[in-house]
Amino acid sequence: MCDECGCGDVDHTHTNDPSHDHDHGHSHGHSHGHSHDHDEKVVLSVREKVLARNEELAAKNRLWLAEHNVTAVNLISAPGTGKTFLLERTLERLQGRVGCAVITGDQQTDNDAKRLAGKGAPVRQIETQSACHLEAQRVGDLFEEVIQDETRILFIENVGNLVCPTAFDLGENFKIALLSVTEGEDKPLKYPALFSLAPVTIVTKTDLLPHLDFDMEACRENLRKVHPGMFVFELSAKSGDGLDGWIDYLEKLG
Amino acid sequence: MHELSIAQSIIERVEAIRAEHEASGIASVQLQVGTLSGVDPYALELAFSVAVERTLYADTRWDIESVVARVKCRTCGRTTAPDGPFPICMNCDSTDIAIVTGRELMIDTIEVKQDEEKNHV
Ligand SMILES: [Zn+2]
Repeated sequence: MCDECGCGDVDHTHTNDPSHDHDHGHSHGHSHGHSHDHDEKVVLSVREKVLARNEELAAKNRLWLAEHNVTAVNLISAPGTGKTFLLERTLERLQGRVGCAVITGDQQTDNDAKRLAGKGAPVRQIETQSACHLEAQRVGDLFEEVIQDETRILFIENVGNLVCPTAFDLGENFKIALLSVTEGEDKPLKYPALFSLAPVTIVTKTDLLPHLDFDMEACRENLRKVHPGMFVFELSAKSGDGLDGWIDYLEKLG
Repeated sequence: MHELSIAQSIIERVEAIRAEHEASGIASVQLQVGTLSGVDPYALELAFSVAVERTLYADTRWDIESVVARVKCRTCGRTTAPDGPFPICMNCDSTDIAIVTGRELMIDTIEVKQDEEKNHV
């Protein structure tokens, strides 16, 4: 039993901070006016994960995907890594070989969805408006529409942002980080949250390497510093260099 | 800035808990944010100041406790607290580690305001 109020609730504690008694007087219309001396504070122990709801839905998505024999990858990168372009090339190469589907998150336009259409894979777009990441619910809501009997790989193209999407599990099998050679080899050290979670990183736009001061060896080292055993692809969707390895990998995945 | 949507989901949960306890308001909320959670405590604080405007929670105090990262090393077996932004064993520099703490993003406690009469019913 509680010593202070005798209410029988052992899980709460009281704070007697008189300086707070009148702080909140007028923000929440009490029907009984000014009886704030009778207000008392009770501390509830909650111990609850903030993203518990998203995690529950992500777990549901994960189960659904497993039951339908689909491998889902969550592609996360900063804006301008050429994620959509790589996905275009990837769908073209996999067409007729591995059943693919795409869910793409876009903050304003539906350009990404248009670019990805007509390559043999159903594409659905989520307009995230001001949100900087996808959440499990809206992704899961599209599964029935986008995934067909023959679908083996679902690409989830997250909103261009290295930080926010990392915190939201979508129910994917794993995350893939993309990093373009224009971004600098220290990026993995600056964004360890993503790179330590993603088991695979794709270094994109390698066709630009001759024009840049990018140290690929240092980049690989940094990636493995943050994530030992990181699987790294180095490729150019434009020239096609390195694309074969990525496509082989996906074929084995599917 | 995902801190804003995180602040909004915290406010939604707090509102549900307040309603459940028939409390008249919330004096304070204690949150735990790990240094590896991907959430910036300063951005979160700022997000609250925006998200609570014209709500019942405009005067609620949001206490954000930062939880320091601790990692257990698979190479030397020690548990250490890395001082940098990425998880590494401070004893032997190994990166083959398991994260023990630092990924938290939790509502720890909520201090609800209750009318005395109601509390004794
Ligand atoms: Zn060690």
